[in-house]
Amino acid sequence: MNQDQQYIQRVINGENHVFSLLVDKYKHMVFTLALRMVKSKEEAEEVSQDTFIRVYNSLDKFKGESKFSTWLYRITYNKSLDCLKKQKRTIDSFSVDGYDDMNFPDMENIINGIERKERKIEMAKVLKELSPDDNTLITLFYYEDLSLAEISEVMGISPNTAKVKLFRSRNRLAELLKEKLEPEFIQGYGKK
Amino acid sequence: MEKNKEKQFDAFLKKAIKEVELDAPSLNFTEDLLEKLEISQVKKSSTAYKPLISKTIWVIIGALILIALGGAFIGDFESTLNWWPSMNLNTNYVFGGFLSIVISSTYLYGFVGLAFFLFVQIYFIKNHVNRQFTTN
Repeated sequence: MNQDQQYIQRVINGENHVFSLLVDKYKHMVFTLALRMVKSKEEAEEVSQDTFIRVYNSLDKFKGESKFSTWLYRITYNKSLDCLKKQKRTIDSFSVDGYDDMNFPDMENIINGIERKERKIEMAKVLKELSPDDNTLITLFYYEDLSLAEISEVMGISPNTAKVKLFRSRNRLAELLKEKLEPEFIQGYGKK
Repeated sequence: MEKNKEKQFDAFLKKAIKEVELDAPSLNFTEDLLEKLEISQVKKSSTAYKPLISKTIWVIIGALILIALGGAFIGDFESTLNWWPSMNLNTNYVFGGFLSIVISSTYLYGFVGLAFFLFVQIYFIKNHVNRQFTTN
Protein backbone atom coordinates (compact mmCIF):
# COMPACT_ATOMS: atom_id res chain seq x y z
CA MET A 1 0.00 0.00 0.00
CA ASN A 2 1.58 3.29 -1.07
CA GLN A 3 1.52 6.50 0.96
CA ASP A 4 -1.50 7.95 -0.87
CA GLN A 5 -3.55 4.82 -0.24
CA GLN A 6 -2.57 4.86 3.43
CA TYR A 7 -3.80 8.46 3.70
CA ILE A 8 -7.04 7.56 1.89
CA GLN A 9 -7.64 4.62 4.22
CA ARG A 10 -7.10 6.83 7.25
CA VAL A 11 -9.57 9.43 5.93
CA ILE A 12 -12.14 6.69 5.26
CA ASN A 13 -11.56 5.37 8.81
CA GLY A 14 -12.55 8.73 10.23
CA GLU A 15 -9.28 10.65 10.46
CA ASN A 16 -10.71 13.42 8.29
CA HIS A 17 -7.86 15.85 8.96
CA VAL A 18 -5.42 13.52 7.11
CA PHE A 19 -7.09 14.73 3.92
CA SER A 20 -5.11 17.98 4.28
CA LEU A 21 -1.89 15.97 3.69
CA LEU A 22 -3.21 14.82 0.33
CA VAL A 23 -4.31 18.35 -0.50
CA ASP A 24 -0.89 19.79 0.35
CA LYS A 25 0.83 17.13 -1.69
CA TYR A 26 -1.18 17.66 -4.88
CA LYS A 27 -2.56 21.20 -4.73
CA HIS A 28 0.23 22.71 -6.86
CA MET A 29 -0.15 20.17 -9.65
CA VAL A 30 -3.95 20.36 -9.59
CA PHE A 31 -3.85 24.17 -9.62
CA THR A 32 -1.29 24.24 -12.46
CA LEU A 33 -3.32 21.82 -14.59
CA ALA A 34 -6.47 23.86 -14.00
CA LEU A 35 -4.71 27.17 -14.66
CA ARG A 36 -3.18 25.94 -17.91
CA MET A 37 -6.65 24.95 -19.04
CA VAL A 38 -8.90 27.77 -17.82
CA LYS A 39 -6.18 30.50 -18.05
CA SER A 40 -7.44 32.51 -15.07
CA LYS A 41 -6.10 32.29 -11.52
CA GLU A 42 -9.49 32.88 -9.86
CA GLU A 43 -11.19 30.24 -11.94
CA ALA A 44 -8.31 27.81 -11.51
CA GLU A 45 -8.55 28.25 -7.74
CA GLU A 46 -12.27 27.52 -7.87
CA VAL A 47 -11.77 24.50 -10.12
CA SER A 48 -9.06 23.17 -7.76
CA GLN A 49 -11.30 23.60 -4.71
CA ASP A 50 -14.20 21.87 -6.49
CA THR A 51 -11.84 19.07 -7.52
CA PHE A 52 -10.71 18.36 -3.96
CA ILE A 53 -14.29 18.58 -2.64
CA ARG A 54 -15.35 16.03 -5.24
CA VAL A 55 -12.37 13.82 -4.37
CA TYR A 56 -13.18 14.01 -0.64
CA ASN A 57 -16.81 13.10 -1.20
CA SER A 58 -15.98 10.13 -3.42
CA LEU A 59 -12.91 8.79 -1.61
CA ASP A 60 -14.75 5.62 -0.63
CA LYS A 61 -15.47 4.98 -4.32
CA PHE A 62 -11.77 5.07 -5.21
CA LYS A 63 -10.87 1.44 -5.71
CA GLY A 64 -7.13 1.91 -6.12
CA GLU A 65 -7.04 0.20 -9.50
CA SER A 66 -5.19 3.16 -10.94
CA LYS A 67 -2.87 5.63 -9.22
CA PHE A 68 -4.56 8.18 -6.97
CA SER A 69 -2.85 10.99 -8.92
CA THR A 70 -4.32 9.73 -12.22
CA TRP A 71 -7.80 9.71 -10.69
CA LEU A 72 -7.24 13.16 -9.22
CA TYR A 73 -6.01 14.61 -12.53
CA ARG A 74 -8.99 13.10 -14.32
CA ILE A 75 -11.34 14.94 -11.95
CA THR A 76 -9.29 18.14 -12.40
CA TYR A 77 -9.47 17.78 -16.18
CA ASN A 78 -13.23 17.21 -16.13
CA LYS A 79 -13.84 20.10 -13.72
CA SER A 80 -11.74 22.38 -15.95
CA LEU A 81 -13.74 21.26 -18.99
CA ASP A 82 -16.98 22.06 -17.12
CA CYS A 83 -15.60 25.50 -16.33
CA LEU A 84 -14.67 26.10 -19.98
CA LYS A 85 -18.05 24.85 -21.16
CA LYS A 86 -19.76 27.24 -18.77
CA GLN A 87 -17.88 30.10 -20.39
CA LYS A 88 -18.56 28.56 -23.81
CA ARG A 89 -14.86 28.64 -24.59
CA THR A 90 -13.43 26.16 -27.05
CA ILE A 91 -11.32 23.35 -25.68
CA ASP A 92 -9.11 22.81 -28.72
CA SER A 93 -8.60 26.24 -30.18
CA PHE A 94 -6.17 25.14 -32.87
CA SER A 95 -7.06 23.42 -36.06
CA VAL A 96 -6.25 19.72 -35.98
CA ASP A 97 -4.81 19.76 -39.49
CA GLY A 98 -1.55 21.23 -40.50
CA TYR A 99 0.66 20.02 -37.69
CA ASP A 100 1.31 16.47 -38.81
CA ASP A 101 4.50 17.32 -40.63
CA MET A 102 6.91 19.43 -38.77
CA ASN A 103 10.44 20.62 -39.00
CA PHE A 104 11.68 20.50 -35.45
CA PRO A 105 13.74 23.50 -34.45
CA ASP A 106 17.43 22.94 -34.09
CA MET A 107 17.45 22.67 -30.32
CA GLU A 108 21.17 22.44 -29.93
CA ASN A 109 21.55 25.97 -31.24
CA ILE A 110 18.64 27.26 -29.20
CA ILE A 111 19.73 25.59 -25.96
CA ASN A 112 23.24 26.91 -26.30
CA GLY A 113 22.15 30.35 -27.41
CA ILE A 114 19.61 31.17 -24.73
CA GLU A 115 20.15 31.58 -21.03
CA ARG A 116 18.36 29.13 -18.75
CA LYS A 117 16.37 31.90 -17.05
CA GLU A 118 15.27 33.35 -20.34
CA ARG A 119 14.33 29.90 -21.62
CA LYS A 120 12.17 29.37 -18.54
CA ILE A 121 10.30 32.64 -19.07
CA GLU A 122 9.76 31.99 -22.77
CA MET A 123 8.59 28.44 -22.13
CA ALA A 124 6.04 29.69 -19.57
CA LYS A 125 4.77 32.20 -22.15
CA VAL A 126 4.50 29.54 -24.85
CA LEU A 127 2.58 27.22 -22.51
CA LYS A 128 0.06 30.01 -21.90
CA GLU A 129 -0.57 30.21 -25.63
CA LEU A 130 -1.31 26.51 -25.99
CA SER A 131 -4.90 25.28 -26.04
CA PRO A 132 -6.32 23.63 -22.88
CA ASP A 133 -6.04 20.10 -24.30
CA ASP A 134 -2.51 20.64 -25.64
CA ASN A 135 -1.47 22.02 -22.29
CA THR A 136 -2.87 19.06 -20.39
CA LEU A 137 -1.13 16.59 -22.68
CA ILE A 138 2.22 18.39 -22.58
CA THR A 139 2.14 18.94 -18.80
CA LEU A 140 1.15 15.36 -17.97
CA PHE A 141 3.62 13.79 -20.39
CA TYR A 142 6.66 16.02 -20.02
CA TYR A 143 6.27 17.33 -16.47
CA GLU A 144 4.50 14.50 -14.65
CA ASP A 145 6.06 11.73 -16.77
CA LEU A 146 2.70 10.01 -17.13
CA SER A 147 2.49 7.18 -19.65
CA LEU A 148 0.19 7.39 -22.68
CA ALA A 149 -2.10 4.86 -20.98
CA GLU A 150 -2.38 7.07 -17.90
CA ILE A 151 -2.95 10.20 -20.00
CA SER A 152 -5.69 8.41 -21.91
CA GLU A 153 -7.32 7.55 -18.58
CA VAL A 154 -7.14 11.18 -17.39
CA MET A 155 -8.60 12.56 -20.60
CA GLY A 156 -11.06 9.76 -21.26
CA ILE A 157 -9.65 8.87 -24.68
CA SER A 158 -7.96 5.77 -26.11
CA PRO A 159 -4.17 5.42 -25.76
CA ASN A 160 -3.86 5.66 -29.56
CA THR A 161 -5.80 8.92 -29.67
CA ALA A 162 -3.63 10.19 -26.80
CA LYS A 163 -0.54 9.34 -28.83
CA VAL A 164 -1.78 11.17 -31.93
CA LYS A 165 -2.95 14.15 -29.86
CA LEU A 166 0.35 14.35 -28.02
CA PHE A 167 2.24 14.25 -31.31
CA ARG A 168 0.19 17.17 -32.62
CA SER A 169 0.46 19.10 -29.36
CA ARG A 170 4.22 18.72 -29.45
CA ASN A 171 4.30 19.99 -33.03
CA ARG A 172 2.26 23.03 -32.11
CA LEU A 173 4.58 23.67 -29.19
CA ALA A 174 7.58 23.33 -31.49
CA GLU A 175 6.05 25.82 -33.90
CA LEU A 176 5.41 28.34 -31.12
CA LEU A 177 8.93 27.85 -29.73
CA LYS A 178 10.41 28.37 -33.16
CA GLU A 179 8.57 31.66 -33.48
CA LYS A 180 9.60 32.81 -30.01
CA LEU A 181 13.09 31.52 -29.52
CA GLU A 182 14.76 31.44 -32.90
CA PRO A 183 14.57 35.20 -33.67
CA GLU A 184 15.99 35.95 -30.20
CA PHE A 185 18.75 33.48 -30.74
CA ILE A 186 19.54 34.97 -34.13
CA GLN A 187 19.49 38.49 -32.67
CA GLY A 188 21.69 37.46 -29.77
CA TYR A 189 24.03 35.65 -32.13
CA GLY A 190 24.31 38.69 -34.38
CA LYS A 191 25.39 40.86 -31.47
CA LYS A 192 28.26 38.62 -30.50
CA MET B 1 18.31 12.86 -39.29
CA GLU B 2 14.77 14.21 -38.67
CA LYS B 3 14.15 11.37 -36.19
CA ASN B 4 17.26 12.38 -34.35
CA LYS B 5 16.10 15.99 -34.21
CA GLU B 6 12.75 14.80 -32.87
CA LYS B 7 14.42 12.88 -30.06
CA GLN B 8 16.57 15.84 -29.27
CA PHE B 9 13.50 18.07 -29.17
CA ASP B 10 11.77 15.61 -26.82
CA ALA B 11 14.75 15.67 -24.49
CA PHE B 12 14.78 19.47 -24.61
CA LEU B 13 11.05 19.61 -23.80
CA LYS B 14 11.42 17.28 -20.80
CA LYS B 15 14.12 19.55 -19.42
CA ALA B 16 12.58 22.91 -20.33
CA ILE B 17 9.06 22.09 -19.13
CA LYS B 18 10.35 20.86 -15.79
CA GLU B 19 12.21 24.15 -15.44
CA VAL B 20 8.90 26.02 -15.54
CA GLU B 21 7.80 25.78 -11.94
CA LEU B 22 4.31 24.75 -10.95
CA ASP B 23 1.90 27.56 -10.20
CA ALA B 24 0.93 27.99 -6.57
CA PRO B 25 -2.65 28.43 -5.41
CA SER B 26 -3.52 31.04 -2.77
CA LEU B 27 -1.74 30.80 0.59
CA ASN B 28 -4.83 29.76 2.51
CA PHE B 29 -5.98 27.25 -0.12
CA THR B 30 -5.91 24.24 2.22
CA GLU B 31 -7.53 26.11 5.13
CA ASP B 32 -10.34 27.40 2.90
CA LEU B 33 -10.93 23.94 1.54
CA LEU B 34 -11.00 22.26 4.96
CA GLU B 35 -13.40 24.92 6.14
CA LYS B 36 -15.67 24.17 3.20
CA LEU B 37 -15.46 20.48 4.02
CA GLU B 38 -16.02 21.24 7.72
CA ILE B 39 -13.07 19.13 8.78
CA SER B 40 -10.94 21.98 9.97
CA GLN B 41 -8.69 20.99 12.85
CA VAL B 42 -8.84 24.44 14.35
CA LYS B 43 -12.07 24.49 16.22
CA LYS B 44 -13.68 27.87 16.15
CA SER B 45 -13.91 28.89 19.82
CA SER B 46 -17.57 28.99 20.57
CA THR B 47 -17.82 31.41 23.44
CA ALA B 48 -21.14 30.53 24.91
CA TYR B 49 -21.44 32.76 27.92
CA LYS B 50 -22.85 30.98 30.90
CA PRO B 51 -23.95 33.22 33.75
CA LEU B 52 -21.95 32.82 36.92
CA ILE B 53 -25.12 32.63 38.97
CA SER B 54 -27.76 30.50 37.35
CA LYS B 55 -31.46 31.34 37.23
CA THR B 56 -32.27 28.76 39.92
CA ILE B 57 -29.77 30.30 42.32
CA TRP B 58 -31.22 33.75 41.64
CA VAL B 59 -34.71 32.44 42.44
CA ILE B 60 -33.43 30.90 45.69
CA ILE B 61 -31.61 34.12 46.62
CA GLY B 62 -34.73 36.16 45.80
CA ALA B 63 -36.92 33.84 47.88
CA LEU B 64 -34.52 34.07 50.84
CA ILE B 65 -34.50 37.88 50.67
CA LEU B 66 -38.31 37.96 50.48
CA ILE B 67 -38.58 35.61 53.46
CA ALA B 68 -36.11 37.71 55.41
CA LEU B 69 -37.90 40.97 54.52
CA GLY B 70 -41.30 39.43 55.17
CA GLY B 71 -40.10 38.08 58.48
CA ALA B 72 -38.74 41.49 59.45
CA PHE B 73 -42.04 43.24 58.69
CA ILE B 74 -44.54 40.65 59.80
CA GLY B 75 -42.71 38.74 62.48
CA ASP B 76 -41.85 40.11 65.87
CA PHE B 77 -38.35 39.03 66.54
CA GLU B 78 -35.96 40.21 69.07
CA SER B 79 -32.44 39.60 68.08
CA THR B 80 -30.45 37.82 70.61
CA LEU B 81 -26.93 36.87 70.02
CA ASN B 82 -26.46 34.09 72.43
CA TRP B 83 -24.19 31.96 70.16
CA TRP B 84 -21.63 34.70 69.56
CA PRO B 85 -18.67 34.84 71.92
CA SER B 86 -18.93 37.92 74.06
CA MET B 87 -16.61 40.59 72.84
CA ASN B 88 -15.54 42.97 75.42
CA LEU B 89 -13.33 45.34 73.60
CA ASN B 90 -11.55 47.44 76.07
CA THR B 91 -11.58 50.54 73.94
CA ASN B 92 -10.37 52.58 76.82
CA TYR B 93 -7.13 50.70 76.69
CA VAL B 94 -6.75 50.86 72.87
CA PHE B 95 -7.89 54.37 72.01
CA GLY B 96 -7.29 56.13 75.25
CA GLY B 97 -10.91 56.42 76.19
CA PHE B 98 -12.09 58.83 73.50
CA LEU B 99 -13.73 56.18 71.30
CA SER B 100 -16.15 53.62 72.40
CA ILE B 101 -17.46 51.08 69.85
CA VAL B 102 -20.86 49.64 70.24
CA ILE B 103 -21.37 46.74 67.88
CA SER B 104 -25.00 46.03 67.29
CA SER B 105 -26.08 42.49 66.60
CA THR B 106 -27.57 43.55 63.21
CA TYR B 107 -24.23 44.95 62.17
CA LEU B 108 -22.53 41.80 63.28
CA TYR B 109 -24.95 39.58 61.29
CA GLY B 110 -24.44 41.76 58.25
CA PHE B 111 -20.67 41.71 58.58
CA VAL B 112 -20.48 37.94 59.07
CA GLY B 113 -22.84 37.39 56.14
CA LEU B 114 -20.79 39.68 53.90
CA ALA B 115 -17.56 37.95 54.83
CA PHE B 116 -19.15 34.55 54.21
CA PHE B 117 -20.45 35.48 50.78
CA LEU B 118 -17.15 37.11 49.88
CA PHE B 119 -15.33 33.84 50.45
CA VAL B 120 -17.98 31.87 48.60
CA GLN B 121 -17.70 34.30 45.68
CA ILE B 122 -13.91 33.98 45.58
CA TYR B 123 -14.26 30.20 45.47
CA PHE B 124 -16.78 30.27 42.61
CA ILE B 125 -14.92 32.90 40.59
CA LYS B 126 -11.66 30.96 40.96
CA ASN B 127 -13.27 27.76 39.69
CA HIS B 128 -14.98 29.59 36.86
CA VAL B 129 -11.76 31.28 35.70
CA ASN B 130 -9.85 28.00 35.96
CA ARG B 131 -12.37 26.28 33.74
CA GLN B 132 -12.18 29.03 31.14
CA PHE B 133 -8.42 28.82 30.76
CA THR B 134 -8.12 25.06 30.86
CA THR B 135 -7.16 23.69 27.46
CA ASN B 136 -8.03 20.13 26.68
